[in-house]
Amino acid sequence: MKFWHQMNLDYPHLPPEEEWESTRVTLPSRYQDPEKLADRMQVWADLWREAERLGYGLMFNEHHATPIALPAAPLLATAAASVTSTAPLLILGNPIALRPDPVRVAEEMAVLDVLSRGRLHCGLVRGVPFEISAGNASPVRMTERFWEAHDLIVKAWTSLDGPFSWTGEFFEHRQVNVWPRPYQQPHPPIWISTLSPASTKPIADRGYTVATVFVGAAGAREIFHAYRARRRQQGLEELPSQLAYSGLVAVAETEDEARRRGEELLWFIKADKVSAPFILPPGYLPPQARIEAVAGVDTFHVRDRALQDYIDAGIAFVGTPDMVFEQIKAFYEHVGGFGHLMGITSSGFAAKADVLDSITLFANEVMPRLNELSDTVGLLEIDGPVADRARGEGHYPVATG
Amino acid sequence: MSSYPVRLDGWDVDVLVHDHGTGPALLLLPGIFGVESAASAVGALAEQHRVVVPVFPAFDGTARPSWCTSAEDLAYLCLDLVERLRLEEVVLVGCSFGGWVAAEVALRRPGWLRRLVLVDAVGIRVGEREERDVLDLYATTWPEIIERAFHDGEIGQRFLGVSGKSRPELERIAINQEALVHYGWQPYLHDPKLRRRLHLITAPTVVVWGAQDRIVAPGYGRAFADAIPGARFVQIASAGHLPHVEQPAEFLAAVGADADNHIDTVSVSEAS
Repeated sequence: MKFWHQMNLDYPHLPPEEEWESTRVTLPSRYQDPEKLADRMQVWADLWREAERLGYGLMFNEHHATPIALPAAPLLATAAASVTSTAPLLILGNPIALRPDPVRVAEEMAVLDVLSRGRLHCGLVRGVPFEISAGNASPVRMTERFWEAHDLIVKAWTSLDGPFSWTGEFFEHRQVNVWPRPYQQPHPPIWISTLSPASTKPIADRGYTVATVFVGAAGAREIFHAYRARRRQQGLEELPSQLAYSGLVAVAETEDEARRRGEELLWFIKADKVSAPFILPPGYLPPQARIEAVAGVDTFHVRDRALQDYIDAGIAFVGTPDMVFEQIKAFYEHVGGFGHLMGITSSGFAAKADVLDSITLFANEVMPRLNELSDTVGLLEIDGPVADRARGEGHYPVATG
Repeated sequence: MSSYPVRLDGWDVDVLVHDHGTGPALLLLPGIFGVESAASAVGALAEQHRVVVPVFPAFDGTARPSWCTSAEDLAYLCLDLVERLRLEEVVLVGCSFGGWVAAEVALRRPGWLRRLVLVDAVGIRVGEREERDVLDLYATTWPEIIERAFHDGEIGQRFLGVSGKSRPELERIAINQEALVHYGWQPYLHDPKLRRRLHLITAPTVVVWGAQDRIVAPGYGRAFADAIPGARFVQIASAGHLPHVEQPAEFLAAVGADADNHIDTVSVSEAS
């Protein structure tokens, strides 16, 4: 199993939330002190080096017009590439349905792949609903736009004999000729994230790594099952490395301390106060799924949940090394196995020393046992979706004691 | 009223048309809230006209060909439709988003166009680059959109408010919100070149505006009228973005329901 260290690269020094409307799209940037953010970035760079030393890959995501997470993941990953030498670098990902120019994305990723001597894993994502207004991109036909952008990027990476012409439905570029070519040939590994089993088919057909975030054990089981069923139906190989899951990870010598760290990790969820129009813009989901949004029902409930809810759902793994191993083992068995675990280990006001202690304990005491588990067990046979479990909210057997 | 599908040449889906009344032809193009938003005007108009209302593809859950993405596409739909239905001497009334489509139709100078009426229309660019001509509907809650669209909040609530609405009615709102995105997301509810083309319109034109429209303000309407040769600008008091809903009598007068009435004789509060 591969382990990815992810810090939520946020800016938590905000005034009381009564003073502003939304962490997304509209929060004035005057609330952010450049000096404080520069200090945080220095801490992040130190932790990138430590995480590399402990055997993690480094994972980067991005959001826009918000203190919840910084934009420009390719720049942050480039910074990380320059202070490390062996750690794989995962950008999850490039929001290509929001980007006007896929060729630019192909260029940036190729540069980073060469700079890091082939350490890049290139994630392509659709982007969360709050990114629509921030990214100024139309919320309709995002899936079609996403796949056309993907096709153009892959062709740009793999065309080594001079320019080609592209006249698609969404993008036109008459002389596509990306320099540099990627370091990895024919191109860096591609990851695509999804929250729904229905959208795994084109990911499975291409053998890309399907990544899913915060959907819990029930949701991950459905998504991994759909992906593997499609692979099997097509007579294609099923591999653990095709399946990735992202959750919160907080480890400490005592349960109480781990829970304290876990609570700190929730900053970026608890602080994420989103104005109604940005929660679910028209077109992002089918109209039938937006009726509550039209009716003014607040559908954005994640802030209300307690740490234990996240642990029960398989979204957070929190405790002593033994507890965290048991939690992830139960998760692993429930979802049928997977090959990549992305752990969010830092957010908000978490102290550097605590984060370092948490990732060190995990690396020394949990990683080896999980590797042994995955090496022994590999992928497990699982049935289809469990009908009575709502996505992300289902309970599954977790050893919490 | 009858409703029927029309298959236009070159289209692989049907266009749904609502057809009301008899008399001289009036083509009514609905706005950002869909066909329903024009409904209250239709009854009165249909007393003296055959009122034809096309449902723009994607609105009310109708099929939309993937290439149909602009007000210009819808204008050609209208041009085609009028030929197909063999309408002549048509009064063309475009409300809100439908006003943009109506302007696109009129500047192509079809021989059948008798008169053009634009009602709180969008479609042109007026302000400086950091000004919003039209409220950002995608950064505004639905209750606030309703509040800004109507002078009389009670009418707005009854008409488009969510309380008391059935699930299918709410779904229709969601469907129409999404439909508009296909045509109006970017450039946002306008064509940057439309304003400089409006001088091509030769049909007698009246631009009608709700004085309390806070989706798109009367000043924008005045600029619209100024760009069309000979157009009259008529402001209707105590009305917002849908003057045909809030002040139907004044609206009818402005439309000139009796074709023989010259627009000068209508009794509306006319802007200076």
